[in-house]
Amino acid sequence: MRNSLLLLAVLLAAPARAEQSELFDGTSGKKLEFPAVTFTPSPAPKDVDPRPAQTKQSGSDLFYFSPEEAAAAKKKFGVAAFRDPAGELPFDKDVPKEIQAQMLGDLAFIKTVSGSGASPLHRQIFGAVDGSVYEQFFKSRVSGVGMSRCGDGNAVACVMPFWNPTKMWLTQNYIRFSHPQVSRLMVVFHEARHTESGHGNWGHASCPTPFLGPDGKEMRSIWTGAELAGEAACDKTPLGSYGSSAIMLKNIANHCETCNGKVRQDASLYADDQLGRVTDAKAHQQMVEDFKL
Amino acid sequence: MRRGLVLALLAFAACRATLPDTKLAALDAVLAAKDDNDPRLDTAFEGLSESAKRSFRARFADYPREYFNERGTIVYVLGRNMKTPADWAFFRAVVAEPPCRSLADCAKAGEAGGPGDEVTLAYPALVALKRAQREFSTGGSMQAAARTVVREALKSEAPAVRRLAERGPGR
Repeated sequence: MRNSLLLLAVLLAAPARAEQSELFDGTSGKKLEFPAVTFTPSPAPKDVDPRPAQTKQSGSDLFYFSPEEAAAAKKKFGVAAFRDPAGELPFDKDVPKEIQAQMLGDLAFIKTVSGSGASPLHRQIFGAVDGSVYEQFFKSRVSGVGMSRCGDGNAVACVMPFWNPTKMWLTQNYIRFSHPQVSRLMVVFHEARHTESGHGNWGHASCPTPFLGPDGKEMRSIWTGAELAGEAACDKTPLGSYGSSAIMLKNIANHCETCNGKVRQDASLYADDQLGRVTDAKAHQQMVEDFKL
Repeated sequence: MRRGLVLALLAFAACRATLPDTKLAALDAVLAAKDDNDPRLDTAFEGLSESAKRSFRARFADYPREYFNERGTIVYVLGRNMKTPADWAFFRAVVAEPPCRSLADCAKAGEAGGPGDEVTLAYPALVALKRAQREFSTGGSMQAAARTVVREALKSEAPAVRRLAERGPGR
């Protein structure tokens, strides 16, 4: 009897799971696997200039177009009217089903957003903090979705006014990388703003020289280490692509009543990051006051 | 009778050794669903036992570093259960991770990307840092421990982590 009790004591003292190290060294045995998605970039439309006067991409930051390209696109295509947002979002045939599903899933989430407050800038750009408002904003601006490399690199999406000022192009990175959902939505709403040819497609401004962060250090591209000073990777208005997407996310962070804590926190994290790209002092301050920071 | 009792107790012990970790299974289900707005993230992981937290930290280590959203989500859930020195030690370790150099491969420099990539690359550390900063903004009782996380973040080589630490409380 005593031996049985001793054996039982030993068994009950054993942990239910093997003990794991309290800390870790960040390594893992598992190898990252990318989804098996292949695609062929959509060919340029037949009537488009086969050699559009594209701004030479510096490769230091994200894909961008010049004011001259935006003006040329406006001259060629005219000012695109906002389309009727009713109906399905048209996808080109070469957009893989997985990417279509992800985008539709992301847009379905944004449609569930609901909140009872909105900042002044949010009301000016979008209206209420409401999923139907965001859906209308997006679908009235984006006439269709195709596949492109968007200048290569890690870009998730882009708008190329010289090809089609209202079309959004996605890359395989839309599903390839492990971005929080808010991050993907921020990118597509940032790009949707670039379809507005009546506003010069809200092209980016050159970042100031020097371009210092809050730590007093030169802001550099996270991917290449190149300095962002002088690059077309900033905005001087709260209404541009960086500003509008930051305002949208900050309002989701502050007012969304149908979002969980993770989504609200993610929205705040990405909004604050985007705020750093609005470099005009007056515009920056306007957004800070708008966010009630 | 005595033999039966012993056998029953041995069977109980054997079951306990293989009892599925239901909280870990729930976490895996939430991550597999890929719905960042899943309400379970705020409701299903309250009051985690120390054993459950250990298994969550192990799951964090299971994921390759390039699974930014999955790892950050685990940090978020653990952040709702900060009670012990081990909890804060884990968060210090998350914040102290070497910077990830690209979305495709943390060990290799990558090509230009898009808006917000800097946040994604540092996402788990930023979630940990946000939780530490909240200890100050809410007048929490573990500010000393939280401050060690903030101080680690101030030394980070990831710019997004350093910037958030610079402009938030707890320095």
